[in-house]
Amino acid sequence: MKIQEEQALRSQIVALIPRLRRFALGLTRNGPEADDVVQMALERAIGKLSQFQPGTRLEAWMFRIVKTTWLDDRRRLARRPAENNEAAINGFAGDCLAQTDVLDLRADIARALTTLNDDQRAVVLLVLVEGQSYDEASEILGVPVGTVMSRLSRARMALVQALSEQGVRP
Amino acid sequence: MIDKITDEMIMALADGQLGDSESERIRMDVAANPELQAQFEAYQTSQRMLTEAFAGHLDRPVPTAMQQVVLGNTRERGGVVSLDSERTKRKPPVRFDFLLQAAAAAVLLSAAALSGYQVGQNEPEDDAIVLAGLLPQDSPLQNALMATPSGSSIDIGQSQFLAIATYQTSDRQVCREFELNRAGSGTVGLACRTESGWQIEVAALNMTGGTSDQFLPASADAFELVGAALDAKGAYDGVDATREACILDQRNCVGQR
Repeated sequence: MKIQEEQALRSQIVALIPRLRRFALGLTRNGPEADDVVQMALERAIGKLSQFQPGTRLEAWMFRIVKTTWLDDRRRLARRPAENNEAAINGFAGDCLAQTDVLDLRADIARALTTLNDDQRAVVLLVLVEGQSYDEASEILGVPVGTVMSRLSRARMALVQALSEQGVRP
Repeated sequence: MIDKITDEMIMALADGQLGDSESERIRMDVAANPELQAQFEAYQTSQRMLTEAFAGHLDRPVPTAMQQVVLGNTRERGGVVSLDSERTKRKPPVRFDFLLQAAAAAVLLSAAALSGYQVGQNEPEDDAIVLAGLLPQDSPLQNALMATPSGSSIDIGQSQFLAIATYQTSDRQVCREFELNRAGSGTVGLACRTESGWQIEVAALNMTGGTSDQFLPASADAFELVGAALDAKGAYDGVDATREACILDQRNCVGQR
């Protein structure tokens, strides 16, 4: 990769950071933890920059790295609860987390997102928040479009139900 | 013949992801059916609420450290500290290029393609290796994989085996993530059960300088390798303790989640 191409790529990644942070926030439901995930994802992306295929979607590549980093981070925290107690609690005790003030999200939305499993949450955020098409979400998540649609459909019904139970009116 | 209107079709209509003709047809069906209309509105509601909830988050200033990671010279990061390195409190991985190549190969190669390495038996002095291949029957690692509940550890020679999690792929193959830690080094690996026994799909070991007497976890890079192997197998869905006990015991676990 030429130096100019690499610089252009880096600039495009910087421009994506706000969206990556927003995606990570939805996944983690915790602002500081989301930024940790994004920071690690950026480090990974820069380390793998030579592997990026020109002509493919940088956005999809970066979202995929963030999602993978988040899952890896959860696994890593799970194995060292004593050393990462606070982070582990934030990452895994969604029910407790949603009731705290540490969230950088509306509490009702955070609680509703907590009712979704990881796969459902990722697809909801990509399609409903990040505006990815079903095909694009399929590319990012590495699952068939039909799987994207079925996960998304179930997740949205669960979200509406969860919000309704909280007394949130559309 | 008119196709049945599925939940996914109504959702795709709400999301504007249908072609014109299909969109028009389904829109008419939805409009004529109060139940479908309510469902359509629920999909719209979920989209609107999520969009609104996250709308302001793009305006937050980007932390300087993030920009520096991306824009900084990769050889001279300008003092930016690697978060992975900080969080794991350890030195950067040694021979990572080698590990990356070898581990990637291990993911792709067939079970019989690589020779096995018996942890706890005849361990070489040089720790910086990638383990891959079919484990011999009754080897200490195979026995540990078959019997150790996730979250539990046992000693294998000078190493501590820690079972991290059990996964099941879409084709029902059972895989286990584990760590092997010993003074000064940490290994993270993924093993999957085959008809011939347990196969190490990928394992990456880091040396930490050899002076520490503490058990240290493997690096973030190693976690990433195992994560990629899990991803490649479609095995990210872990199983709970009850099901794990059942499948490790090789009983019929139909009906258990």
